[in-house]
Amino acid sequence: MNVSSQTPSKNPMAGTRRHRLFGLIRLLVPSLLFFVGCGLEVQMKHEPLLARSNDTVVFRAETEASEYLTSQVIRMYVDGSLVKTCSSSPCVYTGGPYAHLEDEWLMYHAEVEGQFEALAFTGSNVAVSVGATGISDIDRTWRAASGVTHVPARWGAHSSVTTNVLFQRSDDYNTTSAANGIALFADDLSTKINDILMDKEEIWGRMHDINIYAYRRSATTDSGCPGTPHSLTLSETGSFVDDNGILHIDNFTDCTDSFNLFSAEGSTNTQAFLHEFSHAIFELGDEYDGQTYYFEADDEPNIFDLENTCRVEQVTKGREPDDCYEFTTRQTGWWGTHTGTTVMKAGMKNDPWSLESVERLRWWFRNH
Amino acid sequence: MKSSYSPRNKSVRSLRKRRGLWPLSFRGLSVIALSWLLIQGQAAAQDAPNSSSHEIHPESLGTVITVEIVYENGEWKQREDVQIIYCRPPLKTRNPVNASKIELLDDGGNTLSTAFIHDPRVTLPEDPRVPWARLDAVHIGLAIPLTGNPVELTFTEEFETRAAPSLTVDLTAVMNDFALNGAKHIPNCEQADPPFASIREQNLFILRYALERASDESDLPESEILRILNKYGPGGVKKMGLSRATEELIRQSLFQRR
Repeated sequence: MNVSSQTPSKNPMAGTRRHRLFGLIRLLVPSLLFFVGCGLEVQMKHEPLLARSNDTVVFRAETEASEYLTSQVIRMYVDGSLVKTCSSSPCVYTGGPYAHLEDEWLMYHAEVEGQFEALAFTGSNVAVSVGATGISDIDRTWRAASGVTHVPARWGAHSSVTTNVLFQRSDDYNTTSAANGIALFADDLSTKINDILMDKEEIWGRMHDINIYAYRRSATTDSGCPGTPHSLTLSETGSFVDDNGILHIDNFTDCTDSFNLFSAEGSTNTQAFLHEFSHAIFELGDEYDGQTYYFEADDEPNIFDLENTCRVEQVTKGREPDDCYEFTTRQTGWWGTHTGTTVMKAGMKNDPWSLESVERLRWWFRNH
Repeated sequence: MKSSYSPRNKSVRSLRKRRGLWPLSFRGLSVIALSWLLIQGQAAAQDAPNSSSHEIHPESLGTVITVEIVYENGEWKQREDVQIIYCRPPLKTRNPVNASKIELLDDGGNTLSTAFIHDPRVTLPEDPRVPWARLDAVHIGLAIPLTGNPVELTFTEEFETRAAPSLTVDLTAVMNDFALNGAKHIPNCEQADPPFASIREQNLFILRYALERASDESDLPESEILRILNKYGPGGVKKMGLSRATEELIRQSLFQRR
C-alpha cells in the first residue's frame, strides 16, 4: 500500500502505528534504564605486591554492581588455572609459592557474571579484571641477568598505552642493610598500592590505566622532599616511566615537583601518598588555602582561576553557580565548590574527593 | 570491603571502556537486540584488518631522543650525553601547566617536532605553611620522539613568555652514531613492554595468557584463535564461541593503540 498518498487522519493504520510507537517507547525506556542499571565491575589484586619465589600470595577479587544485582559468580584464575569460584564479594584465594615463575610474570584474572532483575526484566552482564606481577627474589631484582633494574609490581595494561609509575625507596630505609631496606619498602609499597590506592573510590576498578613498578636502587632524601632519585634512574629507565614516587621513613614535609616526581612517607597511613599521587598522576590542584602553586588543568579542573569559569562549570553541569566561592585569595584568587575536608585539602584515605576532583578523575580515566 | 549490595553501589559507576556492560539477553527486546547487532556490526567493520588499528609494528615502541638537564645557579645545563633509545615515547603530558617546550630542529633551523612538558620548576608542597617559590635546582630528563634528521634539540622554559631557548643541545654526534649503529636498547624499556614477535602476530605475554584460556574453553588451537584475530581484528572474538568473559579477556589483552 502506498501510504504516502493518503493523509494521516484517513489512514486506518495510523492509529495502529501510533499505538505500536507508544508501545515501543514504553518498552524502550524501561529497558534502556535497565541497561544502565546493569553496571558491574570487578577488581583483582595480589598481596604481597612484590612477591618472592618462596612467598604465598593472597589474591582478592572484589565486585561492585548496581542495586539490581540478584546473584553473581566470581571466578578467579591464577597462572592460567581456575583456582576459586565464589558467589559473593570479596573472593579470596591464597596460592603459591610460585618458584617456577621466578624472574617471570605471574598472571591472574577474575571474571564475574552477574544476574540482574528490575522493571520486569532479567538479564546478565560480565566484567573482567586482568593483573600481573613479576616474581623476584632476595634483593628484588628481576631478570637481573638481562640488566633489568625494576620489578613490575602491579601491571594492568600494556605499558605503551598506559601511565607507568616507578617507585623507589629513600636510602633512609637502608639503616641496617640494603636487603632489609628493600624488604621494608616492599611491605610499605604493598600497603600504599593495595590498601590505599586500589581501595580508594574512583580509583577502584581502574588500575588497568596505571602500571606500578619498583626500582631496586635507592634515592636520597637528605635534603627533604621530594628527594633525589638514584643517579642512574633516568638513563636506566629510558622514557617509559611517566611519574616517579619516592617512599621514605623520616618524617618531613612531602611535595610533588613538576607533576613528575613526588614523595610520601612509606611507613605511615596515607598522609601525603594519596594527595601527592593525585597531584603527580591526575594533575589535581590543592584545595586548601595556603602557600602552594595553584593551577587549572585544561580538562575538568578541580579548582578555577576565575569566578566566571567556576560558575559556567556549575551551570553547564546543572548545579548552583552560587556554590562557587573564593577559597583562597593567593595568586590573584582561586575558586572552587569544595567544602569540608577533601583528599586535595588534607589527603587521608577517609577524606572524600571533592565533586570537581571526582569529575577530573573520571575525565582522566576516560582519556588515559 | 566492597559488598556487591552496598548502598553506594546504587549510583552505578559510569559505564566503562573495555568493560562488558551490556546484558546478554532480554525477553522481548528484539529492537534493542537489533540495535545492538547493528552496533556490533559497525564495531566489527571498524575492526576489519584493513583498518590497521590492531596491527602492531615493532617500531611502534618508538625511537626517542633523551637528554638529562639540570637547572642550577639560574641557568639550564646539559647533564649527560644525549641518547637515542628504543623506548616508549612519553605519553603523559597533553595539556601542560605553564608549559615548557622541547623542539627538534633540522640544519635549516626548521622545526621537525615539538613536545611540551609541565613547568619543571613548579613544586606543590604538602604543608601550606611553607613559603612557596619556584625550584632553584632541578634535574630532569627530556625525551622526544625522533623525527627526521635533527641537528639540534632546544629546550625553552616558560616558552609562552620567552623567545630564546633556555638550552640548545647539539645532536650531530649522536645522530652520526645513530646512522651507524641504530638506537640503543635499554633492558628496562623492553621489559616494560615486551617486543613483538611479528607484525601481525602479537606475542605479548598477556595475550598468550588469554589465548591459552580461550583455547581451553573453545577447543580451538591458539594458532587458530590468533589467525582469526589477525583476520578480523578484536571483533573476531565473536566468531569463536567463547564466553563473554573470555571474549572480554582477549579484548583487554590485545595491544590496541589509542
